[in-house]
Amino acid sequence: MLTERKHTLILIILLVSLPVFALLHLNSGQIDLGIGTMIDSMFSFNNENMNEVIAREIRIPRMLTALLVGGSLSIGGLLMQTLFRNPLAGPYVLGINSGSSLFVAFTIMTGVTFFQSDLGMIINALIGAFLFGLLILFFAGMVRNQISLLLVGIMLGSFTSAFISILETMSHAEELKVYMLWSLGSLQKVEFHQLGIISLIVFLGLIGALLISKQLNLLVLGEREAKSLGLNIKRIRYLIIGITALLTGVITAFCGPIAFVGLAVPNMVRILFKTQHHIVLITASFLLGAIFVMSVDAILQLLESWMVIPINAITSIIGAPIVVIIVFRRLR
Amino acid sequence: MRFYLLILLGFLLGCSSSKSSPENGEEIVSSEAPLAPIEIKYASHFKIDTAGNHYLLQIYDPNDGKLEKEIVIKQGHDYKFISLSATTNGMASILSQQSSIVGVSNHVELYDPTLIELYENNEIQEYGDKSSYSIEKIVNSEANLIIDSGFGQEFPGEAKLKKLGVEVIPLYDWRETHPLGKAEWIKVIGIITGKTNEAISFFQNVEKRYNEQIYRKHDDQSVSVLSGNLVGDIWYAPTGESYMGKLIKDAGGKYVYQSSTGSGSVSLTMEQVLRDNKQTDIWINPGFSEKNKILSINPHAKHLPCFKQVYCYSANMNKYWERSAAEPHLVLEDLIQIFHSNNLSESELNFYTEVD
Repeated sequence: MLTERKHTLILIILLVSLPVFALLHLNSGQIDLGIGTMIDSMFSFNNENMNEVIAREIRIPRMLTALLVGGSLSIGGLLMQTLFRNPLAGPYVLGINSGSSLFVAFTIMTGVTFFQSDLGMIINALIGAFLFGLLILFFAGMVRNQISLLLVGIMLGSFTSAFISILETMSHAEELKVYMLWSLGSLQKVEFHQLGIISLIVFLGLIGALLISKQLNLLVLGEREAKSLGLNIKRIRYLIIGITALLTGVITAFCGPIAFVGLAVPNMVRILFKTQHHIVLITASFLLGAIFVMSVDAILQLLESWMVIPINAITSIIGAPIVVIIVFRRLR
Repeated sequence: MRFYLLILLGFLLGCSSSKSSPENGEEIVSSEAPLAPIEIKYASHFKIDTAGNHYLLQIYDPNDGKLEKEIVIKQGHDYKFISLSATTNGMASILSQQSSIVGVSNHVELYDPTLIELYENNEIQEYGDKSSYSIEKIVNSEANLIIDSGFGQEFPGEAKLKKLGVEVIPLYDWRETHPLGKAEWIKVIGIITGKTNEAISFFQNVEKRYNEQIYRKHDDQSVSVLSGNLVGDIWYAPTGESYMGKLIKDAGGKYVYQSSTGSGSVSLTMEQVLRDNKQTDIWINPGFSEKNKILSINPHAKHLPCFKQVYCYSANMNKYWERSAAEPHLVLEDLIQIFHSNNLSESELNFYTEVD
């Protein structure tokens, strides 16, 4: 009872913190726009006013993208960690992002117009993420050691890189450049009108994850135990892969691969909540993930007058040591 | 006695005929007056001195200005080189010395028709870039030089190559901030290919034409100009003191970041670029030749008023990279046309095209 109260309290703190961090993010850019400009840009937009253009087309979409990226990648990571019962699992480490990257590379470098539309990019990224999710699931059945599964993920990443290198040699210089720039990862390329489709897909993924939270609680007990309690293991595995592909694929399509968020945040959440109750873990992962990426990006914005740092540099600086710490704990 | 006199006469005649023989390069040099150092007016990262009857090429590190390398370029020696820089390909082509090139990094980057033909006839081989080349393949070739775009670090395997008789020359033309400094590197290719006088004379002509154009258009700075594009989240704009900054200024453009200093670029966010370019007229060098590609990497570009008038050199990138360094007057000519011509016809441009 006490734990439940504690969980509720932390969730409320996270929920209240979310708009606070969103406002901090909105005000951390190099140009002082003021809250009035932001409101005007939303409700009485004047495209002749450059400050309103900056607010509506860059600042606000960047904040909402950070929120959606953090939330969805964190849930994707949590689902992977539950499915493989491995705290080191995550869409980036296991190669799910690589699947999206491979298909997006194909999308960009083929030059086919449909593929290069928003819908084409999303479909391809989702297919790539789903197929690589199935592949990692297949390998998970063959290797028992948790570290070995990560090595398989790294190998999938290497395989993807090699395949993309071959695609690169055959592609036109400008298409190649588009792909290289996409692969750097960015929160700034999402446009205002694209936020609708991204939000919808993330919302569907979030609802999907919440709907299977009870099955996820059973899965934590181990497959044999879960089966004896009536859980359809095959079905839940496909559902997890499908939801993760949805959440990871849409983000990868629009923002490029964003490293380590999916790995680091669910581990932070587990440390914070010390529970296997997935409705709590999913909600907290979404909120903490959103706050985490918004904070990282706000810091980057504050540093911009001094130096411009790519988002992946910071998420990796934070995420990679977490992997190392967990590996050492496991090996001990 | 008469027999010995005849032999002596024959020997003397033989000597004199070999000295005047045009087929024997080394002997021609030895009969000429000693070489003089070559004057370098604009370039900062090399000097050409003499060492007896040979040239001494001195390359200076662009980062600290210290002497990085000295190479004796023997006159009359038949240098064959692997060119890992497009500028070298272009300069060798201008001097009609394509046959001195036995290797390039990638044939798809070639522009000069003779070089392409030589590649198709297997007289030029591909060697990849410096990170992936094969030492054995180089040693197995005729090459005794590798000319590479220097990046201030030792060429991988350089010590081994030197032992095997292959010298590496870093070409720092791309670090020169004056357009004529870049062009002056043709003198290096000139001494290597034995076309010193042709290279000097070509450069003098370029210098004359470049300077004539500056003075004609210099006063009119009514057109504001933006350059560069986003790489990831960072917009790299050349500084006012850089090669491109100088070209824009010499072409009579009012460059938005003209006051920025240094030889490289300034890093900006898209927000800063939008704020600084509310009134900018023309955008050059976006890195892409189609607007939809610009938008795919930088969707916010459409909010720049200058998105209506974008010019790039990337429609024919191979031509630009091969020829622009040696012929900056043609780049300047393009920019002057773009900035000041009311009825601009693309056929009048040498390197640039309008982005559609």
